[in-house]
Amino acid sequence: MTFLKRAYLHTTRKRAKTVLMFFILLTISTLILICLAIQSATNTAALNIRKSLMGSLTINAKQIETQLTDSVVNQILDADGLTLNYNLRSYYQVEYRSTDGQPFNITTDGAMEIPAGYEHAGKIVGNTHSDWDTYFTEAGFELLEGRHIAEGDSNVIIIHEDFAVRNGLSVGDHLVLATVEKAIERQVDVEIIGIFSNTVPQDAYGMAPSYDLYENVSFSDNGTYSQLLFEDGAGHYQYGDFYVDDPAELDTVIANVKGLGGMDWDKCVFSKHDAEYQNAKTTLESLQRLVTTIIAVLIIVSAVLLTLILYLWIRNRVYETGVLLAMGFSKGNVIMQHFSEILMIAVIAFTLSFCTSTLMVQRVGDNLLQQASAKQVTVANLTEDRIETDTTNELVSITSIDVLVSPFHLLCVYAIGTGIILLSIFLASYPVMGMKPKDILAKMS
Amino acid sequence: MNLMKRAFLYVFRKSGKSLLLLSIIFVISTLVLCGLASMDAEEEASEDLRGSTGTSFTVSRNLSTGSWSSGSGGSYSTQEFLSDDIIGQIAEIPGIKAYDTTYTTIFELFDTDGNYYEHINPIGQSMVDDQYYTVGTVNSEYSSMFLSKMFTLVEGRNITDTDTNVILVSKAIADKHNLDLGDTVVAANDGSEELEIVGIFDVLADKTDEKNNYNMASYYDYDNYVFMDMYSMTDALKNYSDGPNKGYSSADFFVSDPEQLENIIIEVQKISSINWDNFTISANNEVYERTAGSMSDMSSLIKTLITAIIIISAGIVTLILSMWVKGRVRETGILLAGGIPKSFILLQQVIEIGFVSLLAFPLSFWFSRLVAGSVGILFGKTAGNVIVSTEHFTLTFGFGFAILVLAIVISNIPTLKLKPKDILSKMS
Amino acid sequence: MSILEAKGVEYSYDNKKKVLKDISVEMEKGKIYAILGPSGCGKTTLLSLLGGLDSPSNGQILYQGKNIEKTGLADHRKKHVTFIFQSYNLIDYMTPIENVSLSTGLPPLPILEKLGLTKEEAHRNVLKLSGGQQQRVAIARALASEAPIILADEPTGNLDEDTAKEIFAILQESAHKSDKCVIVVTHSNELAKRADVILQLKRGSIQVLKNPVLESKTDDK
Repeated sequence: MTFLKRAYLHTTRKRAKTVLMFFILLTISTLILICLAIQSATNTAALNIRKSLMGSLTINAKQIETQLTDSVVNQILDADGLTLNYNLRSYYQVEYRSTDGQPFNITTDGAMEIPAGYEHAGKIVGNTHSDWDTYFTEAGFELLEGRHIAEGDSNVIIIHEDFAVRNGLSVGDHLVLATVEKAIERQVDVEIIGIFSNTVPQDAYGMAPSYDLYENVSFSDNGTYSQLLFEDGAGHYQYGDFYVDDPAELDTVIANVKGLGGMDWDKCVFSKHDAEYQNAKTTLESLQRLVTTIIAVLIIVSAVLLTLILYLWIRNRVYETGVLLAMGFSKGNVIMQHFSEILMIAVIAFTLSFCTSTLMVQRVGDNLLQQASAKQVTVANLTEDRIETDTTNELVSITSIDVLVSPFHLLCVYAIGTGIILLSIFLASYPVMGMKPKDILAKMS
Repeated sequence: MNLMKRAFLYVFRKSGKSLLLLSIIFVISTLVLCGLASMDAEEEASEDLRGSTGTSFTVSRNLSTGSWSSGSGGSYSTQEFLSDDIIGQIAEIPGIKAYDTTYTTIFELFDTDGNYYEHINPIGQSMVDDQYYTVGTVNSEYSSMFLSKMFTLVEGRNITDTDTNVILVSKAIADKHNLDLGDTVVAANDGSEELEIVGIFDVLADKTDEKNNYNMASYYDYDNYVFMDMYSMTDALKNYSDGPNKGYSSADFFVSDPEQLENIIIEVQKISSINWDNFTISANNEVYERTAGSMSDMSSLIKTLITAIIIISAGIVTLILSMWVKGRVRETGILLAGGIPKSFILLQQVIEIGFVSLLAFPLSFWFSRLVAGSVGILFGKTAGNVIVSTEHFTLTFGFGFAILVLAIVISNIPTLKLKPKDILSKMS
Repeated sequence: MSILEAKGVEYSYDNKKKVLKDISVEMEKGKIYAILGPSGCGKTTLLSLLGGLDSPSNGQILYQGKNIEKTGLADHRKKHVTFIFQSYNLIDYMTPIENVSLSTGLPPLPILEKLGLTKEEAHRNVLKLSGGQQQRVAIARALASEAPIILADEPTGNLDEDTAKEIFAILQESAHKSDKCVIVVTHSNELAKRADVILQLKRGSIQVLKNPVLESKTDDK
């Protein structure tokens, strides 16, 4: 009789034992599957946390003649790990003129000096999104009329209220920006699409050159910059801010970008902006490690437990083992029988655990969604802050967390489970198998 | 033969079986204890994670509710300033882990012999080249340059609220003038102060990026920044009409757990000695708001994981115990046939488990402490260590034993229901 | 030629006292042997050696003239000998038919019926059979294995007198009619008398006794 047939007979005839082992294996495999499903979900949650913490890199290409061009920017955006969010900006000075060619007036109150040639000049910040500019986000500038510059705008400008009043300009009017350096004489006609003002006084009395005074600062689109300072009709940008998908990959992304050809990256300055991620990194990683540790401990404990149970199981069958050995069956043959018995039960238990674990993790996933919506932070009610969630939602794309038991998880359980059973059978059989045949005969008498 | 004696005999004669049972209870209870301790550690780590977002609120003078006056430099607000007292009261509110306020102006730096320290990128004019952009601060660690990681401390330590006469200089300056921690420099504005260098920082930001050029600060190289303790700055500027001795325009307060931000602000606003008409509070919690959902997801998931393990472990123990009881059917039969009352039989088994538990649970307490220590190392130091407390032990022992007793009782029900005549036939 | 032989066999537990001293005996097919002796004298040990469950400290066990150590103990157990124990012979989750199938490919039912079991009994769980029926199944399995040597260790120890006699008769028949070499270990004089050859084990040495009835008749002369 083969060991398989014996295994089959034992499993089908010793119902109570089989059922008990079935439940034990079902419980262990369900638990491991739940853990694996949750682990996958925590990895997604961790990724979401990293994504929400955001990270970006800034390329300062001012030192290169062509600076950043459209083709380079497109190549960069194509690189792995970057989101489609980016900002391109340039800083330069222009002379303000009317469409008739008459120079406009600038403020000089509080300027340290008015450099020669800059009597009618102001600083221009060329930006893909003017509302993302640090003047608005950190220095307290506020748009009063009109709208911000956005991607797609061409030859537009937003000016300071003071400058508008001083020169009798309003939204919809046109003015001309001319290069200050007389060597290259170019000018561009721009339309006023917005007027802003500062809410906090400029903290630089007597320190700034006239063109840096808040009142003389204007914002324009990137195209205008390229037209004024370059001849080739292509897009040029001094700085590029690129947002990465996962700040943990920031270094890799920078390396990838540096690998792109066609640019003298050595002359550029790369800076990383991932302070929030760096602050959270250690704790986040330790939480992820906790999950892995828990699962590892669980698997070890399951193996130990199973070994203990199987030891009892096999020890109770010492007479049967004796008879078989005396009949000439090898120890390996008897071990294979035990292994087959457990495996038969395990295959069914593991397969069923897919259903039991799926049922249980469903509730976990539902629970998560409930908590997320309940946790709307309502601090804004207490303070004078504007709720500015829109910008952020554009920038961050969260992966939804599905707590699922995947076929891959089941495969892991089959593999790990079979391994544990094999190990447990060997360890548990050891004492009985260690008996010499003569000891067995002694036991029988 | 009395109950205790029978129980004792069983446990010690059937040492093999008892050992097995002990091992199983030991293993499961270790798992449960580690689980409970991990739960605590997870809570701590999650709070740390939330805290790492640097959430804070800023209290500032409300210029719109104050009146204005004019002077030589133009018009200025006469609104109440934040005094040390006000800041101190707010900082006392539980949940606030740190605060900072700054006052910035230009100082000249000299050595103790009166020679000035030339700053980075000098233009050749001594009147300008000895100027440093000086940030007077209470907790330099929480000033924006360090928080945003534009600067990072490379040697020494940060300035804290108990410091007097200390200064932080940049690495570039320290290298240029061979300055070390412990050296003394003299900073002069209106008054002059002798300051000890307690920390050296390096500049990580792109110094040439013009996006930061929106205020006075941009006219100073980052390498020419220094940080001074607020006490010294106040002293040096005590004759100023709008120096720090008058108070501060604003102060930032950092919270340990952003989840509590709302409650903390409410408590702050309850401080009656502060005239809240004169001040505004604004929250800096954008980072937390972005990440709150995901962080809470992570926390929930891990808690669920641990809970599932604990509950199911209890289930496994119950299963195993019922197996153990089933193996005693014959013995139970003999005892019943011998006239021993059912309650005694149950009690005997409970006492046996009691003996085993008395050994297994304390052993698992000791062992889980060991394991938790190594798990703690894997966990990383930031979240504190995974500690198994006596509370955890009491919980586990209490519930654990209760579950074991319940399992014994339930598993014995079929056997104990046997009528005397059935026993004999079951035995043969 | 003898089918099974012990040649100068010695055995001691843990190199201390010798349980078996210089045992040399030859056994043939078609005969039933009784190994007689009080409890603890080493009968079971001798049986283990003869059955290839253990190896002697000195000497050899030969099957058809060949040392079983060389040909392989497992092989010896599998093909040459078959055991019958005092108890726990049968696998408790198998029927008599399945128990017999363990050792052979031959149809088990005829063999069982020959030993007095009904068809219904042959399909019952073995735990539901009486002691005597269980031992019959054990013998059936032994016979079915077609091993030429049957080693029985106190096969009737747990049975009542009448059943014991029945079982022993079956064993005798196996020897005389089926040409097996049957070796029975027993402490019962009564049963030993019915064997063809009595080997008495005393203080580690074997003494071949003929049928004592015959002996006493010759003594009486």
